[in-house]
Parts: sequence; structure tokens; C-alpha cells
Amino acid sequence: MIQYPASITRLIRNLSKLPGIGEKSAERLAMYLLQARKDQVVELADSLKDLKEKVRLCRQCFALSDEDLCKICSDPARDGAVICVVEHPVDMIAIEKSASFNGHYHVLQGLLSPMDGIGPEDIRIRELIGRVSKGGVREVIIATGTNVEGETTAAYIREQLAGYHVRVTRIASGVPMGGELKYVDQVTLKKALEGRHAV
Amino acid sequence: MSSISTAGILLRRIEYGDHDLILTLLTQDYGKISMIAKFARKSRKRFPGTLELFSEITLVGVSPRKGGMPVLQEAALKQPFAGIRGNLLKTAYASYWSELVLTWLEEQKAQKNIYRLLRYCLGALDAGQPPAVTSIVFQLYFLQFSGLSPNLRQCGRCRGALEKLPGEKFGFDLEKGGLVCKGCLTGKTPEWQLSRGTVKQLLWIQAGNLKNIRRLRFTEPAIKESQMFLEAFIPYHLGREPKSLKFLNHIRQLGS
Ligand SMILES: [Zn+2]
Ligand SMILES: [Zn+2]
Repeated sequence: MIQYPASITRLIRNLSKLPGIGEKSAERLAMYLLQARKDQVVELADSLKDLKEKVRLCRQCFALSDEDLCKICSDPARDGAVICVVEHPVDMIAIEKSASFNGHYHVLQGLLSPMDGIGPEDIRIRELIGRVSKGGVREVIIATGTNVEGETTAAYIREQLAGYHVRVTRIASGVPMGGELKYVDQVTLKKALEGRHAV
Repeated sequence: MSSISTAGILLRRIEYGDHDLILTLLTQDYGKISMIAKFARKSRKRFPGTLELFSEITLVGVSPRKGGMPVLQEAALKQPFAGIRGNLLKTAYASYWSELVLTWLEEQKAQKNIYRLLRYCLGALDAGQPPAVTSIVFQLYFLQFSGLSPNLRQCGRCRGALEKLPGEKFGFDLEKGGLVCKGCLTGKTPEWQLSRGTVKQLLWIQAGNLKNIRRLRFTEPAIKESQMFLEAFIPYHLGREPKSLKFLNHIRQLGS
């Protein structure tokens, strides 16, 4: 291998730590940046710095935000009486892309996982109960995944909210759009049949 | 092991990269095995709904020629035990047992009796049998199959046989793994004790097998005593507190 100057070697080493980037790709990226316009490279470096300096968690819903209160929590057009509970910020973004929800979110930042020692204190469940106990919340929609951890977390939240005047719902699960029944497992099919509706 | 075909119970599932899962299973014929399920997260058709915790599956796995982790080729759901997920207490117990199997068993050493035990107990949970009693059964047999049975037949210090020991309550010496009679108890009264009736029931389980376990009737105090005893005995010999035991205790407190 050609011996690059130390500053280039350092960049290659750092780039190759990124997911999906091997040494070869890192080298190619470094060469590209070396030849790119200076303002372009400075803009990239600034955006990386901003990422760590500005992005924080919304104090209400724990979504990623540049401000103390995220865009959704501070939007008067959104219905704060309905809270959709998700595991990670990416799940919230997936629901936003579906354009089917106009309420607020609550990002748990994880799921209960007994074997990994992740208990209720380790995710943002207490904060969710806090939001509900302040009043003004009509419905909590639990939109965690349907794996064991997702179901356990949903059951725990349901239990914790049992004493409050709030409707607790769980997103439906079943046959995926465009899916063929033969590819659907027996547990999902049973749930899909139980959750059938009139057409 | 180049290609294997067996049944297995899923104990652990870790996301690996963007598409894959690393699974640890207790298999019927090869004991505890870790495998990689490629594209399990990306494609719905690859392993539809089969790779959930506590599920029993039939599987085909292949070891790469150049070595490394076996790759899961095929998987079909045998028994999902779907009544466990979504129920906090059942999930807490199933997690506790799975963690014991994960931490205690060696890789790729067949232990058919432990496989049968785990499958039996998950089935009992799924079918709605009392989780606390099922857990006593699991722990006692698990210790027995691992060669760590507590000695409940005699006092571990004076060697007196149970029938001849004075008193109706006994202490337990975790280090020596045996009962301690009233006469041999020194210092302050232990945190928990075992009544004679409880000891007899535990002995009955130890001497029996899974086939007649359905006839087992435990009183509430006997369940409490056995639980305290086994959940102190196991961490002591494991050398640490299982992570899922903390969760189990939390969930039991919610319920009471
Ligand atoms: Zn927010
Ligand atoms: Zn004695």
C-alpha cells in the first residue's frame, strides 16, 4: 500500500469506522474530499460538528431535535391528546412518512428485555406515565414491534396505565400489504383472523 | 458438524448488521448453538415469524467450509408457545429459565434432558399452568441435570436424616448445598427457612419425573419458601444474579 501523509491516513482510518465502509471505500472517499472544493468540505465538517453539538432529545417526547421542544411537540396543529409510543426515533419517522397520524409521540429509547437486564427504569416509561398523569391525554397508542420485547413493553405500559382515565390501544398486526398468505406464519395469521373487521 | 438438521428452542436473538440476526438456540441433538440467520430482518419471506424468542423450530444449519458461525438455512415453526409473549409474568419466567440455560450450558454439548425440560416448562406456561410452580420444577430438575442438586435428605452438618431431625423448620447452607437442622443452626435465624412439608414436596419432585408432575399440589407458603430457596441457591452457584431475576421480582411485586 502507498504510504499516504499522516493527515490522509487519519481520515481514511476514521472513515473506515463508519458502517458499511471498508478500507477501499474509505480511501476513495478521502481522495474525493481531497479534490473537492474547500467550502464543500468545510460544510461537511460543520454539519458533523453540529450533529453532536445541536442534536438533543426533545424534553417532552424524547425524539431527536435541534431545539428544547421538537417540531412536532411545538406544532399547534397537532393533537397533543393522542400519544403514539414507539421504540426508536426511526420508528417515529416511519409513521410520519405514512402521513396517517396527527398526534404527538413518545420515544421510549429502547424496549424491555429481561435477559439483557433492561428494565422499566432503563427506558422512558416513567416519563410517559408522567405525561399521562398531568392530564389532557385521551389516548395512548402503543406502536412497539411485535417481537417478544415489543409485546412485553406493550403489556407493561398497559398495566402501568390501567389506573388512569386514558384509552390505551395497540396497533393492529397481520398480513402485510401485497403479501401472500402462504408466507405468513401461524401466529400472525391467528392474530389477523382475531382482528378481522367487516368490509 | 458440516450440516445439521434438528429441533431447537430460541433463547437469544441479536440484531447483526442491517439485515441479519445472530441466534442462540438450545437444540435437541447438539445442545446450545449460535447461528447466523442471513437476511432474516430484511426479507419477510426468508423466515416468516419463525425466529421469535421461546419458539420451538425445526432447522437446518450449515457450517461454512472456511470455519465460522453456522448459517441457518431453513427454519419452520414447530411450537410458537405464543401464549407466553404479551404476558408479563410468563415472559419473565421464560426469560429467567432461558438465561439459566444460556449461562450454564456449554456450546455444542447435547443435553437432551434439559431440552425436554425447557420444552415441557414453556408448554406448561403457554397452557396456563401456574408459572411459580412450573419454575420450581424447572429449577430443581435443571440443577439435577447439571449435577448440582441440593441435598434435602439430611442435615449437611450433623448428617442426621430428615425424618429424625428435630423441629419443623430448617435452614440451608448455600455453600455446602445441604439442609441445616435446628440443632446445627448457629447465629441469628436465617432470612428464609424451609418447612418440613416443603422439603418433602421438593424431594418428591427430585425423585419423580416430568410425567407425574401434573399431580403436584403446592400450598401458597410452600411456593414462597421454595422460590426463596431456589432463587438464592441458583445465583449462589452461578456466581452472579441472573439479569432476568431482577425483572421477574419486579413483575411479581406488581402482581401482588
Ligand atoms: Zn417532542
Ligand atoms: Zn444438624
